[in-house]
Amino acid sequence: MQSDEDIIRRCIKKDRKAQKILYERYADIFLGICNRYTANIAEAEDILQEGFVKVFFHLQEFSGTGSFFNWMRRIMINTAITYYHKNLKYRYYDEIESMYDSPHTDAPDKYDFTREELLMVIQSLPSGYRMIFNLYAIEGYKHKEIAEMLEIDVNTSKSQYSRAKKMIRRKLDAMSRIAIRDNKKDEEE
Amino acid sequence: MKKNKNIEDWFRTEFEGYRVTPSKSLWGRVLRKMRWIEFLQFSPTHLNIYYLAAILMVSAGIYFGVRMRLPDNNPRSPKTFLEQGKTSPVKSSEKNNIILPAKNSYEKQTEKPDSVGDTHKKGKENTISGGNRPEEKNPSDTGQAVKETEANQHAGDHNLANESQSGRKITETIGSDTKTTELSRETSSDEVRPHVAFRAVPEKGCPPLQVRFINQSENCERYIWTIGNKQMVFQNEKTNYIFEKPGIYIVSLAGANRQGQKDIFTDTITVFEAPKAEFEIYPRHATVPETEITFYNNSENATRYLWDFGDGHFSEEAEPVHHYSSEGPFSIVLKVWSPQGCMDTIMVKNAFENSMYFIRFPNAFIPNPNGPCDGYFTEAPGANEVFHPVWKGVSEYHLQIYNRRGELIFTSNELQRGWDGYILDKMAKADVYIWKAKGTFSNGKPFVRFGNVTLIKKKN
Repeated sequence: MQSDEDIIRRCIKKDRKAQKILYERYADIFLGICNRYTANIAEAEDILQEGFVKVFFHLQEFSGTGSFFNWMRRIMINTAITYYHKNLKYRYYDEIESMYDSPHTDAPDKYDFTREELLMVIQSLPSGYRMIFNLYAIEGYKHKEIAEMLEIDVNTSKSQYSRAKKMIRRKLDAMSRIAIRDNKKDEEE
Repeated sequence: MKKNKNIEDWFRTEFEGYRVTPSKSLWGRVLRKMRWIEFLQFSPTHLNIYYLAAILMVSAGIYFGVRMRLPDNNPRSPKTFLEQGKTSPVKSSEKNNIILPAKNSYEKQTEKPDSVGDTHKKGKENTISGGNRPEEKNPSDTGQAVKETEANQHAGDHNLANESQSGRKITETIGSDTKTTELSRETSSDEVRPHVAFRAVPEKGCPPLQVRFINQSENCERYIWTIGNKQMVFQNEKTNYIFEKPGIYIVSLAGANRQGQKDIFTDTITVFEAPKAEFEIYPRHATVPETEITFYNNSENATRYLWDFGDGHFSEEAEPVHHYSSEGPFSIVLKVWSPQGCMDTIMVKNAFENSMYFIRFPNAFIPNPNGPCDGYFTEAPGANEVFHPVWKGVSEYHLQIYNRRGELIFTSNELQRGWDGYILDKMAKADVYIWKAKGTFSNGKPFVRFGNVTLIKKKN
């Protein structure tokens, strides 16, 4: 197993074999990340493709000081953001429902969700919510950083995030209710 | 169970190290994209678009360089000449029996006799290929040339005339190919010097100017027209050409006989500057018959005007003012003429809103600070202490005013009673209020208007 440094050096020299090794080493993990930023796997693969092309063409700009994984991850996320901006239709998603405070439901943690179900919830979010939720909740960026990345106001980021969270909670709640009902049905049968 | 865990942590842990296997073709897509980008980027080490372009240019240069050096009598010229000879009797002598096979060959040669572009392309080949001006013309250059069937028919006649002048016999042309070629070579040496001339009708005019060029040259075989900086070949003796843009164009016709003796004739075509009709109307909302409508003339390069106001009245003034006596809609037409007599027209349908009846509200008012006046107002100029509409022909009327919180604070069913800015003898605060007015006009048409009005407090 060659070290990342070796492969990077060879990749800079446009060594196709090294590029393929790098791709095979990281494609699945980055596709996992891209998948969270898009509504479906086809879009995620588009972003991954763009991202890898960017990585290969800008590899010589990688300083070598930070973590290579984080550098690549940042490129993937930036590619996802570019993709999102390119396909932007609704800059500020405002659900009419969300204008009113819905009665607080219990956190839907009574039921255990699988990762696939959580992914489904993320993928079904409006793209703006999905970006902010991914960046803030999962990637752990600050609202200020997100605002810069998405070219929006800090407060927009915050409010969109809280709405995204509310929506996720509602979706999970609905899913758990369906699950409970199905369970009951099973028991009755 | 994930009790007491917030959503962020929950999702974060779930997606820690989450992997999805990409589809197998994805690496191929990455590679393809990279190759494409590398192809578009300049780099000395691998093949890219710049190299490709350079190779293409060099090979094109060599190709044309070689062609330029080819001698005039390349093997194509006698053959094409022959074909021309064949075609000429077809058109000229339709009673002749020989036409049938000849006609076929003509059709084969031109492929689509109906299509203008094709015929011109072929024509170009025929006339140029044997020439001493070997540069090829872009077929699109001839695109503007308009072929007429009449001209096409004349072409054959003319060819016939030309050829009989040069002492050739058409029957022989059809009889034996080789003989004709030799014959034409021999007889051509007797040809007199070429004389090139043409007539352009008209020589000046307004754009777009269609000019008919009539070739009156004698003793010529090949022609090249130069219009502006475009060179083209017209197949017919009479050709129409359209000049779209104003300017002075130099048109020259170069002709050459078979020995390569040349003559040239030049004429100028003047295309005048066109005027541009343009106008504005003020006001855009008018009450007839009270309001005077002013027409502002924004036309360019025009010295004469004719206005059609759409109600049967006309004017030749530059900026007329007009009174309409009845309700519209009116379509206004402005015709303008340039000093040279070129014309332009603009028509605006439903040019302005006009009506015998109207109701309009102001967007601000300043209540009288001294106390309420029950909403009755005077029509004195400049008076703005009461919020009320101006109207004409309103039969029914109902006004409601709301504050920002949506509370109804004033209603009125009388046009003569507006809002004085007071609520229960206390002046309302300076703010924006929302009003809504419903009613019907005298002609029975209902109306609903709404908007907002700013209450301004007078400084004491």
